[in-house]
Amino acid sequence: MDMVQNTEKVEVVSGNKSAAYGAYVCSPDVIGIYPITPQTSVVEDLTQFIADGRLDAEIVEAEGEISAMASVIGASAGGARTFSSTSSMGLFFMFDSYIMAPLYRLPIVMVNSNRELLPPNTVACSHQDIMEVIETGWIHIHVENCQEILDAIIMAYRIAEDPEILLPVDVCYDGFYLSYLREPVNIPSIEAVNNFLPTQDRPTLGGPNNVFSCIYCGADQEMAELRYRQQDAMEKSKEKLEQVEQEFAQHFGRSYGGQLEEYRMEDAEIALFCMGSHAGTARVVVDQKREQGIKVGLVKLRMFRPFPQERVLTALKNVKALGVIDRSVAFGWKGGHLYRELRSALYGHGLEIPMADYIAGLGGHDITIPLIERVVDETKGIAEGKQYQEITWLALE
Amino acid sequence: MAEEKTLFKFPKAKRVYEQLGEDRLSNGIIACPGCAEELGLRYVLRTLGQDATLFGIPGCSILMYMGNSQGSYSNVPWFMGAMTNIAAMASGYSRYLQKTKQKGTPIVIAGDGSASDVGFQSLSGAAERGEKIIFICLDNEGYMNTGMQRSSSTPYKSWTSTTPVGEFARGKNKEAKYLPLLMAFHNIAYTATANVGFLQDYVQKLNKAKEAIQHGMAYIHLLCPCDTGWRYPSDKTIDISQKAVDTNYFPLWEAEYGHFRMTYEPKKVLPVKEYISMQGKYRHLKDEDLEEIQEQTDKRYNRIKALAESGEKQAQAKE
Repeated sequence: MDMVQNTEKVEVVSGNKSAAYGAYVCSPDVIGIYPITPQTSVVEDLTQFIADGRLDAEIVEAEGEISAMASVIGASAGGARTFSSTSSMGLFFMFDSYIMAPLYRLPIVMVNSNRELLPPNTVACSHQDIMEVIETGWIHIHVENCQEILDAIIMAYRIAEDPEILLPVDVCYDGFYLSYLREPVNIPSIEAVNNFLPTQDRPTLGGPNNVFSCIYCGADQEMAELRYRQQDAMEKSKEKLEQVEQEFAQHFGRSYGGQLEEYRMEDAEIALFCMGSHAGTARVVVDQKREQGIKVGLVKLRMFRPFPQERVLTALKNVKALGVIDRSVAFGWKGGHLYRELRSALYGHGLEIPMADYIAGLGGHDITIPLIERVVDETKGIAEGKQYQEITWLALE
Repeated sequence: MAEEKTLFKFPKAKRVYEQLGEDRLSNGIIACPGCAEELGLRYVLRTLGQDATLFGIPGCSILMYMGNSQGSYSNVPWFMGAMTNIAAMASGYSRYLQKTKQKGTPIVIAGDGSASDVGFQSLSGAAERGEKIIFICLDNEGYMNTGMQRSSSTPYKSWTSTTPVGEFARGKNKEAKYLPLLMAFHNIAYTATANVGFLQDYVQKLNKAKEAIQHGMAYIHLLCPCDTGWRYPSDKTIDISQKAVDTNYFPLWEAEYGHFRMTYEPKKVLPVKEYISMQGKYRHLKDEDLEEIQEQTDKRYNRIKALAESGEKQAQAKE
C-alpha cells in the first residue's frame, strides 16, 4: 500500500502543529480555544492559519477553557463542525462545559495534550489529567506519534458525526513527548479529506428555523432512556472505529489497528500493555527481547473510552502473564487506571491472567528502555510461576 | 434632555402594543403570580421572537419557559447551558450563524447569579470579544430559584437566606455589584437598564439591542422584583418596579459604545424609603440604615447622570 497516498506534502512538524493541521484539513466552522502548556502552539498555529487566509473558520479566542468548550457546544448545537484543544488544569476548568457535550450528543472533536496536575508545580507529561475525566461520555483515543495525531483527528470526525454515534471525541497525545516533538508528517489535501469526511447533512439540534427545546426532564423513564441510548452509542463506537480505520486505510494508506494494536502478539507468551507515546519505546524493547528468544508481544491500547473489552480478550487469550505500564495513579485504588480497567475486562470473563502493574512516567519521568526491559523480565518471571509484586512504582525502586 | 442622537435606529411607536408580535409563551406557565420575569420574557419574545434562539440556564426562567417533562411552554428554539458558560455558548452559536450567513438573534436569558457571579467571566469574555448576542440579565437580586440566597447583586442590608438577620448581623453587609455599569465599561455596542414598570422604554431597548448586535454585543439589565423572595404582595410588582425608578434607586439609562444617555427621569424624585418600605426583605432596617441606602442611591444615580452629561457635552462639542 502506498504510504503517502493522497498526501499533499510531507512537513516536519511538532505534535501540536500536527493537531492544528488535523483540524485544518477537516475544515471546521467554529474553533473555541484557549492556550495552556503544552498545547499552546495549537492555538498559535490555528490563529495563524486563519490570519493567513488558509482556514475559513470562526475562532473564539476564549477568556478561559470553560468558554472555549461552551462556544463549540453552542456552535455544534447549531450544526457547525467544531474543534477545540486543551490540557491538564485547562481540562478541569473546562469541565462544566466538557460534561455537557456528550449529554447533548454533540459531535465535537478536540485534542488533549496529556499533562500532570498541580500541585506540585509541573507542566510535564502524564496521563493523570485525562484519566480524571474518563467517565464523562467522551470517546477517548490515545495516540503514539505525530502522524497518528493528525490521522486520529480526521477519523474522530467520522466517528463523532456518524448518525449512530453522535458523541464527542477527545484525541489524546502525550505532552512534550509528542506536543513538542518534531517528526515528518504526511499532510493530506483538503480535497482528499473532504472525500473521506463528507461535510453535508450534519445533524443540528436547532436553529433559527428549527424549533427545538431541551425539555426539562423529570424522574420518569425518559432520563433512563437518554442515558441508555448514550451508553449504546458508546458501545457502537468501538465497531465504528474499526470500520472507519479500514476506510481511512483505503483513502490514505495508513492504519493503526482500530481500538488497539497488537505488535508481535501472534505467538506471544507474555505481553506488555500500554498506551501513548512510550508504546514506541516498548516496541523497541519487544524487538530486542525477541532477539534474545523471549516470546513477548505488545498491546498498544488506542481507544480507552469506550474500553475495548472484546478486542482485549481476543488479543490476550494465549498470554500467560501480563505487564501493564500505567502513566497515572487511580487515587484510592492501589494501582493505575489501565491495570484497573484490565482486571475488570479480563477477570470474570474467562481470562484470569496473572498481571503486574508498573506505575511509571509521572511528572515527565522518562519511561526508558531499561525500565521496560525490567517489566518484560519480571513478567517472564510471573509466567514461570515466580512470586511477584502486584503494584510497582518504577521511579521509586 | 437633548434630542436623541443615537447610533442604532429603531421605529418609534406611540404605544408599546404597536411594536409587538405574537405572544410565544403559553398560558398557565408555572411562574409565581406577580412574577416580573414572566412579563419580562413575554416582551422579549413578543419583540424579538421572530428569529430568536434562546439560551437559558438552570433557574426560574428555565422551569417557567422551557417547560416540564410534559412539553415546552414556548415556540422558539431553546438551549440550556450552565450558569458558568452560557454567554460563550450563545457566542459559538452566533459565530456559526455568521459563518454560514444565516439570520437569527441569539438571546441569553440569565439571572443575576449567573451574570454577576459564577458566569461573569464568560459574560465579560464575550463582551470583550464583541460577540453578536443579546444578553438579558433578569436581576432579582439573589438566587431566587434555590430559595433566596445572596448573590453579588443582592443590595446592601437586604435579608436573604444566607445573609440572615440575627443578633450579630442584619442582612448583607456589602453593597451590590452594579453590573450594568461594568458591562457598559466593556465598551460593548449597547448596554441598557430596563424595568417592567416602563414597558415602552423596555421594548424600545430590546429593539435597539437587536439593531446593535449587527455591530457587537448588547446587554440589557432588567430589574425583576420577585414577590416570593422580596416578600411583598404579588399585585405590587409593577408598583415596586416604578418606585425603583422614581426613587432613583434603579435609574433607566442606555449606553452605545460607552456613550451614556438617561432614557427616563422622574419628574419628582421620591425618597428611597418609599421603595424599600414596600419589601419585607428590608423589614429589619433602622433609620440609620435607610440613610446609608439613600446615600448609596444618590451616589449611584449621580455617577450615571455625570456619565450621561459628559456624553452630551462631547456630542455638542463635536457639532
